Amino acid sequence: AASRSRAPAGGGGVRKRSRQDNFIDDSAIEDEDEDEEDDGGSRPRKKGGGGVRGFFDEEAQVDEDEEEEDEGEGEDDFINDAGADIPDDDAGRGSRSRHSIPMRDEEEDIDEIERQVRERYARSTHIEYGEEAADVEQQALLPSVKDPKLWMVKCAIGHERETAICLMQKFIDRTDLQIKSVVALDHLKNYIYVEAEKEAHVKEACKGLRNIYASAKITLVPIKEMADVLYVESKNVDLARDTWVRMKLGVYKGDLAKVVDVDNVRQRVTVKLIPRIDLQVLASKLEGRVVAKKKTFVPPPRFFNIDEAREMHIRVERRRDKDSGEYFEMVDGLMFKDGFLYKPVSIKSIHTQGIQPSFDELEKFKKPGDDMNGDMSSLNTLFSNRKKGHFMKGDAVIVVKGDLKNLEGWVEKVEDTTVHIRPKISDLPKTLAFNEKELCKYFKPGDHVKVVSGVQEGTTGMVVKVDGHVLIILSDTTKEHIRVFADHVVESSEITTGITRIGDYELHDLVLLDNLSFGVIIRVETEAFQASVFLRIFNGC
Amino acid sequence: DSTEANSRRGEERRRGEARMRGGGGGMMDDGGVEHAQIPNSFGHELRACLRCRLVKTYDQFRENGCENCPFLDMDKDRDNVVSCTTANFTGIISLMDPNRSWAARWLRIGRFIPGCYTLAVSEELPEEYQGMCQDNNVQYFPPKRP
Repeated sequence: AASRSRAPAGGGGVRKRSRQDNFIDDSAIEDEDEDEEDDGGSRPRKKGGGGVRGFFDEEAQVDEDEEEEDEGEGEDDFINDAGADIPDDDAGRGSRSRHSIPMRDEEEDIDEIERQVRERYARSTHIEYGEEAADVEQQALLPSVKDPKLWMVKCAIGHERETAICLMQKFIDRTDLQIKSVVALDHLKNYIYVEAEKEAHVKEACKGLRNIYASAKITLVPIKEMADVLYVESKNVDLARDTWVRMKLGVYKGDLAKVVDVDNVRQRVTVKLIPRIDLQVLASKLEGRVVAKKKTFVPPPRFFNIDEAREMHIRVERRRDKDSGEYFEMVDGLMFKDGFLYKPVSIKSIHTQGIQPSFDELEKFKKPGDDMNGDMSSLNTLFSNRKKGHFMKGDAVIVVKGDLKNLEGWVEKVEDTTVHIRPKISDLPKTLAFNEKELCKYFKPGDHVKVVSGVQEGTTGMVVKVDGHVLIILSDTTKEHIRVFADHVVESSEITTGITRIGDYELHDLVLLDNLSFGVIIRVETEAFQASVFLRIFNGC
Repeated sequence: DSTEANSRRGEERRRGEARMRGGGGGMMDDGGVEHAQIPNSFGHELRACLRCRLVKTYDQFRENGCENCPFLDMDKDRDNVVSCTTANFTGIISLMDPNRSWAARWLRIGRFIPGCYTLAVSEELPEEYQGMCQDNNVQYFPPKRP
């Protein structure tokens, strides 16, 4: 349909037409009709002459006619052009409201309209409800050249928040402060951001403040970086019960621990650890004897045994914890239960991100009889530590969570956190989509694999048993059975000779020990932070 | 805006509260700008309102409530302060001019009164209070989860 202008037309010469004729479909015919009637000369022509000019005139007149005719029924056409299916009754009602909207050309870009509407409402001072919906794109709120600028100002280190609050106070006390806002970021020391139209406003605001030096540098933030300033990194791992963490400091530095209680108010958690207690030292301490503490000596982790402690004449009390209602064994202010040490620590003293519990660590944490596979928390930690690109096309996988548990398939496509697999069972649709957390790499007994992460890294061997997502592999080098997570393994035909050297020593070296025994190195292993060497010892002759 | 200010002023008069120096409490200082109370300390007592992210001390919330969210009745019941505010927040923004500030618009606090706010809180407003927001026709944006 030809684009039509919507300016209200003057009177006269309105030809009555039936509503049917105003439909788009008939517009072609309509035009023809008008043309014919115009030629009849019933309307005065603006300009004389024929040829091309005459042609133009006709066009103009046709428009005029259309306007007049459509005056009362124009809205119908408008509705039809837009393709909306509105009953005729509504046309009248619709037309009244439409007068308030500036008439638009049909060909105008939809995006352009959207942008204008957003801009219009982003700046209006409406009452609170009915404003921008929660799903208005953040993109629409990016800074423009009309917005105030952001300036970075150096201030006394450690006093960033104080400076921001002082500036707020100053703004209230004086009516002439022209800055718009001040931002103090937790992670940025020594600097605050001031939002203002001009640098002079910033200078004026900062005058006389104890925490900002008179000579302080003021730097403009480029408009493209403004949104990044206000970016807040949201913590990925919510500290919840049963989360795995690692201790940062002290005797238990580097040890795996499990969160058992969270106190957000005081920013503390209670964690469960395998105790590293030197009972001797403890006994001496309680008896009042002063023992010179060996600084470098860290007691090995061992479960706490009440009887052992009692044998050393250490007083063990059974107490009930008022917060949890459970019973603990108290020794020297430390709380024990089931052999574990329960220690309250500050959130700052533990690592919460990127915790990769090794299989051995997890095993040690479990009491015999606990099912590794059923332990959702350790699975969650394991899955959240997976590197990107963990699954590749062609990998054999098995579903470990949800209704389709135990379904096997092959990876077809990987998209961010969604993995599409081709299921093994032919009756199912060609590809199914899963969250990567619901899948695990699948291996069959007989597969030859290589361990690529975790404690057993570097080992190669053959899968002899699959137990959920724990594999039992026969190592090529040591001919022993080792347990690993399927996550840490890839299929490989490589056969490793294993680690043969540690430090100065090599496999099969004859070595002398301190106490005059000597032996042959038969095996070399690396664990997380230690190296061990196994010897066959010959007794001195 | 004016209706909100008027109702607040009415409430204040009824309570007959004395104006604190620089405190404001949602009142207009003579010739000045309407604003929320400014936190009077910087330590662990600082808390952020989970709905509007206003930052004040526990005591200030307890005595004067939240200027942007009066319906949460923090000044009536200590439990409301404990449930609707948190000490777990990141960053501080002193907002002088909510209407013109780009940062305020970006953080969606451009509709609130001048005061000290936080960039992000880590918890959601408990469900029963979210219901109260809806009842009072007030918007609540929960914190973004990754």
